[in-house]
Amino acid sequence: MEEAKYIYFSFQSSQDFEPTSKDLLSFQRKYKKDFTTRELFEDEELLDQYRLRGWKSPRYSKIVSLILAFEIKGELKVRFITGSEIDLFTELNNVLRKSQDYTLVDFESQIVLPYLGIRMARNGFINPVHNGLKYRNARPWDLKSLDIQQFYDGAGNYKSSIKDIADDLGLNSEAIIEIEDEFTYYNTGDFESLKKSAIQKVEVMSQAHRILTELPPLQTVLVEEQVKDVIEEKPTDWLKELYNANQFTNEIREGLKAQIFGKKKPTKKELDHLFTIIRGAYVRTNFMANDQDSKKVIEQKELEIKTLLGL
Amino acid sequence: MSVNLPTVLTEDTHFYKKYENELKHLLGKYYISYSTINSWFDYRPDFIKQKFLGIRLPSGVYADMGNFLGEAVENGFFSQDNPHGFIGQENVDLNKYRKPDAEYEKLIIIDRGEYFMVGFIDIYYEQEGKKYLEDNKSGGANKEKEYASEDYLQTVFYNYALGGDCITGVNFFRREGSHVRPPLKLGKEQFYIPVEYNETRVKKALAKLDLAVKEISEMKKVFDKYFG
Repeated sequence: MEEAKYIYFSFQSSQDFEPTSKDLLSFQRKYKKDFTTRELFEDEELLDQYRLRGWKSPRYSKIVSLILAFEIKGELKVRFITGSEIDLFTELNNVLRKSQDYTLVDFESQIVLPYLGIRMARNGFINPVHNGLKYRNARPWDLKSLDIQQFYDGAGNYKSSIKDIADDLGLNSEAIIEIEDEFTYYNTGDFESLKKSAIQKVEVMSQAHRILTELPPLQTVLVEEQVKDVIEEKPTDWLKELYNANQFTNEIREGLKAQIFGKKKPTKKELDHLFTIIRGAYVRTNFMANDQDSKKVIEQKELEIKTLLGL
Repeated sequence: MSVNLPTVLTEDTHFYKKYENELKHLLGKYYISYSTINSWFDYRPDFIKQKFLGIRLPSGVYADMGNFLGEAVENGFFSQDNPHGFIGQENVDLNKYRKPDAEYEKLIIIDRGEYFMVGFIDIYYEQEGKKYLEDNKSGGANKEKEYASEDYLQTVFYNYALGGDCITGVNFFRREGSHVRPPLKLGKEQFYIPVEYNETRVKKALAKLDLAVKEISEMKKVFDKYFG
């Protein structure tokens, strides 16, 4: 049996203490002082509330660091990456495009994924490049990432924080800063504590996962990076992109068209073969992983391919 | 027909080192296996993902049980490494399937000129002047019908490769449970399914092999042209 491969994944967020008036107005409408009377927060009180509660929402805060940890050759290689959101997301996409055979491991998928998804969307990254990041048009049980909280709590009703899990399993979590406090550290410039917290969080995720699956803990090897002006690595294998994305994005459609119609026009027989090849890449068949297309979905996909090929 | 298969024998091919002496003269040649032929005809989307796109699909719990059982018959004991938690090992008397001086995972080659077919016989042995070739299969309800049918050609290929004078059959092990109702269990029901070997079946097998190679080659040519 092939060994499963994991990327432990986390990020840190912060908010600007001096929001724009547009942000404040939006916040004011969402977080009313009294929903019954529709009374709003105003002036200083509004600003205080924004600073107190805005961190929860990806619409009033932003991602300031990414942490990606790979289990490689008996070590946990942790990349702590800082930079602008555009650079962070470009780097994330570049890494994940090359890591399609890894399972993404996060903590609280139903919070983490939409937070990241919204921040990415606001920076022009609409469709995730890795299945583990997909959450739109899906149910909780459709998520492909591995949620350590869900893994640990299972069918139980207790919700465990990362620190709870660390305590239960005898792991060190002293350096971990609660999410709601992260922005304070950021705004006071205590980046060292933030870094330590981020690293320990993915260490606890990895160790907890390994303890629960009866595997020995791994030694951490840290790689720190500040990324700037990251260039997006454009895919060249559009069939593989189609397989990974499991949808015809505009980019994939154009990529395939260029590959197929960029040179000489295919013959009728070639088009038939191309249909079979693209269908093979596109149709999901893994019934054991509950990743199998229904007859209706297959028909829809076949129609999309025919449209692409002009059949 | 110009052969153009996705797999070429190299020193890095996963089974090369083990059978180096028998395979050395075939280095650089295209090859195909029985499972690849089946995948082409019965599971084409999987074939395209794996052989053309190079995507590694998980082997699946059923295939893993087949390997778990096969290795147990070969080694004479069930491995302690049992991540799926298969049960029912006590129902299988491995000694019943192990024969004196038997060869396990015996390599067979059918050289077709531009390419060759490769296979591995689960159990091959000789007894009282007769040769025996057996394949171990596990399966749920009615799966045995597949191995008893005229369309089951795996041991026909293997017998043909060895000269056609083996007594061939399948050791069938009833599997209980499923991936939605784990764990998988090796049941008490086990029986032998004889597989008839005759000229008609050999012709059918070779025709199927050649057809698969022809169709795959045509498709691969188009794949290489547009996506290679």
